[in-house]
Amino acid sequence: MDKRSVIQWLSTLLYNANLPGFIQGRIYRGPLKSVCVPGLNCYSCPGAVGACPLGSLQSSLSGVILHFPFYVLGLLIVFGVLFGRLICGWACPFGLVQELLYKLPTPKIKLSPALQRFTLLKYVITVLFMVVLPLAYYYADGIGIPAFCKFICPAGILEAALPLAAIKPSIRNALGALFSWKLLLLIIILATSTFIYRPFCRFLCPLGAIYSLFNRLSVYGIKVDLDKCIGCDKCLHYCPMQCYNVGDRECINCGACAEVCPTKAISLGKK
Amino acid sequence: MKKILTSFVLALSLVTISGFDTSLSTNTSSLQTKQNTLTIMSKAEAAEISEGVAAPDFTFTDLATGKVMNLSDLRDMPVYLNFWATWCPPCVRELPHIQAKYEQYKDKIHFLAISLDGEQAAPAEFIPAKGYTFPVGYGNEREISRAYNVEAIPMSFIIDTNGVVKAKIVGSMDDTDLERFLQKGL
Repeated sequence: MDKRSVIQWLSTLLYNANLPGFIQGRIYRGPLKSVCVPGLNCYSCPGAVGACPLGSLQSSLSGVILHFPFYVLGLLIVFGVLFGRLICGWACPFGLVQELLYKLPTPKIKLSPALQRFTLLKYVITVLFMVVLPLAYYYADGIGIPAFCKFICPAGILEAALPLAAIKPSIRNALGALFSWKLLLLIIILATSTFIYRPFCRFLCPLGAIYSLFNRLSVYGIKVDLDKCIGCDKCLHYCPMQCYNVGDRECINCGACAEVCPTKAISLGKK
Repeated sequence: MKKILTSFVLALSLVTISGFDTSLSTNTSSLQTKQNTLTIMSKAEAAEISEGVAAPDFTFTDLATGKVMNLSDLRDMPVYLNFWATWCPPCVRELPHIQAKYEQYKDKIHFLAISLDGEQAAPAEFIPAKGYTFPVGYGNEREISRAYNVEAIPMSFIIDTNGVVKAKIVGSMDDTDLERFLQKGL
């Protein structure tokens, strides 16, 4: 197993270290829960010891009292400035799930430039589901809703709804149309993951969208030594995220390019 | 590559260690609390709070009167107990139905909506602002949700005059659902 896989597994385990929760169906609610983990990991996963940054961001805009999410935004900026989308590549459990499925021996599809444009969809989703819809609901009927968690998030279904429903009849009885819709979405995303590399991260994930804004500025990440670069573009050819440039907004700093670079011009580290 | 790995692992473990450290110390403090209220917590930890189980007692402040009460004070009539929070959209949507049923059944059933908000000010401001008159309580949010094993809200219970749970439901109820649920206590 390479270093990145080890860290991916390790962070998945660390985020979900409350293993007894999976048997009891009980959500850990200790003080650590007020810390957001950097990756996408549902707060309501029985194993989760921390909070999901996206969930926390939305909870500040849901219900009948709005709060400005100083803490969560501040944390996201710190994570972003330090690591950018390195977090997507190295410390996101849902990214790991999609990567594992991509290892299945199915035909693999590279996105056409037209389809590549749909990577902009995640910015639309971020603005619409993280900000506009929660606020629209708040101003329309006084109750803000966590729209991304409620209508889209497949990680919530996979990590929280499914295990909790498996253990608790009371949760099972409460499942309705929203669950069916998101389960369908999860199945589509997981199935797509077997032939498209990380489709959720590329098209839908607001967290990836937020971190992508910091990708070029981040302290750590991928860098190119232009003195050594011969412009062969082998890096881009082998990039699983199909970046247009090494380290651009789509780059999850996985380091695949560094491995294939014939002149060793690319490296991961402090930029 | 090495640097990045080390700093990442360091950062990750720092967060985890600091968190676990506090969680350990809180665990001990909650253990002490548990010993003080041993009957409550041990029962609660042992089993899921469902039909036929004694409803764990807890202390709360009645937000309208400021009176500190116990659930066990309400034994002259059955109790409709609801757990909710201002940040929970389905819970808040249920409140108008609770108000309507409260006006209808307040002489036959105690209504008690316990807020699991992080702070008392949230329900204390919201409830009067909306003109709700059914009793709303606030207590030690963490201990109460642990005692009742609240994994999702809204969560509602019917508790009989012996303090035993007669019915439980997770999820938001409309008028019809709530009527049917309350009938189990009547």
